[in-house]
Amino acid sequence: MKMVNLTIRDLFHKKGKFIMILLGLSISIFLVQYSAGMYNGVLVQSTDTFDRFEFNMWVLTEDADNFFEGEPINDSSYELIKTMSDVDDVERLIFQGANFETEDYVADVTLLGYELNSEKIKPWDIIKGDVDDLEEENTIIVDESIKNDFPELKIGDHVQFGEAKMEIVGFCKNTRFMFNPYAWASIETAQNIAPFYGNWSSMIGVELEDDYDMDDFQDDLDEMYDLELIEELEVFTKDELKENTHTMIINEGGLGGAIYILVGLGFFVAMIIITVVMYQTIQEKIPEFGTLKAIGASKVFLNKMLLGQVFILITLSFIIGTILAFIFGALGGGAGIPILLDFFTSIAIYLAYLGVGILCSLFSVSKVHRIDPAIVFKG
Amino acid sequence: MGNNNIIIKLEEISKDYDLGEVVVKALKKSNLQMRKGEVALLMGPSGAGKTTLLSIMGLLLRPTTGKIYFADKIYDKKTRQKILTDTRRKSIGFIFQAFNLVKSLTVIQNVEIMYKIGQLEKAGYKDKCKEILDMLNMGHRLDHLPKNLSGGERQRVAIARALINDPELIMADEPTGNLDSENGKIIGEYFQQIAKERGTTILIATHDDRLKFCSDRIIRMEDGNILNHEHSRIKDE
Repeated sequence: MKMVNLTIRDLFHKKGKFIMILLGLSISIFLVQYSAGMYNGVLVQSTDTFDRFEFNMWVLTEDADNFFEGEPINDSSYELIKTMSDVDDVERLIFQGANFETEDYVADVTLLGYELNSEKIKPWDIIKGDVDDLEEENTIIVDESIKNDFPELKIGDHVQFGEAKMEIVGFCKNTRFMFNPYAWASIETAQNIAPFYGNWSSMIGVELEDDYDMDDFQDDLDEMYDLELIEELEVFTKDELKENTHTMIINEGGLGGAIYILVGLGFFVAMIIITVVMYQTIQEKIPEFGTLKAIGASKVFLNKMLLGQVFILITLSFIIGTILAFIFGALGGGAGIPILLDFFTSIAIYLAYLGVGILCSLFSVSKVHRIDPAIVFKG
Repeated sequence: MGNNNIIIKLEEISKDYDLGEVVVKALKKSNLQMRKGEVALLMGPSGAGKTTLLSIMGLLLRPTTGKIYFADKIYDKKTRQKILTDTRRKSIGFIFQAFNLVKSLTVIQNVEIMYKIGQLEKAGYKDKCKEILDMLNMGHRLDHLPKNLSGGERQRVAIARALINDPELIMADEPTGNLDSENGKIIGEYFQQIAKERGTTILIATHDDRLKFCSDRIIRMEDGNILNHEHSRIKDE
């Protein structure tokens, strides 16, 4: 008879109790996995748009350090940067939240204004319409998820978008920023939607000559600023901006706190369950453990038996909880945020649960060690 | 120990329980020895010290004073717990009034557990378990759980568990206490058979006079003292 057989038989002996424990732990692990998946999903989705754009360097106004906070950059600055001999390629991008309105309803949308002839910045996954139609003024292509708010919306419809009336010329999919669908437009159209900034963009993508590095470029921007030719601008690598954006979402967006609370709650529930269950099991089985000790069971044997049960419970619960998180994620439980179950995060969660399980069992294990085997003769 | 026929010898054994304000002398300086293949009944009123003596002889309890000579070793109050545990596992079988089987394990698994505890799973161990259970007329109930067995059957499984490691000594505490007279007699007969065929020494703490038929000697206790040794059935004469 294998040790694991003894452990499993003991665990499964009271099936109702076993199922309840498994259910509690699975829900706890589901909560943690789902939260971690949402956390990953939010972070990835917040910046994956910029992974699709082929610029590795971006210029923002001096007071911004992430993709969210770019203040308007005047087109005159863009034109000047364009003339710099060591700048290989340069493009404007408008990245701006805006309202999408019909007579009865308003929805938040993220506006993406780009250079229509760009090879590096363009919409993807167009499912209806043609990107060339954006050359017409005041036209947009919008992510199909807008239909969650406007189910009847179709190509040719006109909607109030920001300060202008826009014609929808296409739909794309999988182009969202967090909960908001993207609306793609030419730079000029995007400027019409938010005319109060004049001729502007949110950020400028740049590509530099090989022998001209980022520091040299920054120095030149600072010099032009000193000469009052441009506003104060700062250059970032894409990775810096992504990292800053993630940090901003976690710290200022409240996501970090919310996730930590959910994860903490999940672990707390698991700790309570394991502690109570193990303690109760030991209390019920004092004569049985006394007998095992009397007939020669060593501490190692008893440890393996008890911790083996914790291991099996957590492993089964982890599998169930993870499958549940996967299913709920696939069903769109994240309100548009993909639930990304990362392998290494999952392994870390599993190991953390095992650690918590072992830790919470230690009191019960030590109680078994203290059982006097002579109780077997005391009736 | 001088005499090869002596399997266990207690020398000046005493056990005190310190209860704070009062020290209870559960066992007063006692001497006892048992021969190979001997079946002895340990009798006396409640509180006489039977359980304490049984626990000390079964190496479940360390004596306050004195020495135990058993299995080529000497055990006293300083003997380490691990040594006591190892000796119990290898050389002593236990049988209890309440059977003390593992509820979640089947009949055969309750016997096999001794191999697992001792990490002695070797080829043929399952056959040996079946063989012993067959000998105790339990071969037809190998896959039953204890809850589905009668009291007599449970006790036979407990005997099989106690025997599986071929112990030199078996300590039985009221083994017929939960059994009717017929099953009590059967268990007594098994004790006789085991002692005779295997040379196992068996000490039975009991109030059950009906077990006298299977014993060679009756050890009477009172107030922590071993009073006398009656010969109820003389062997080797």
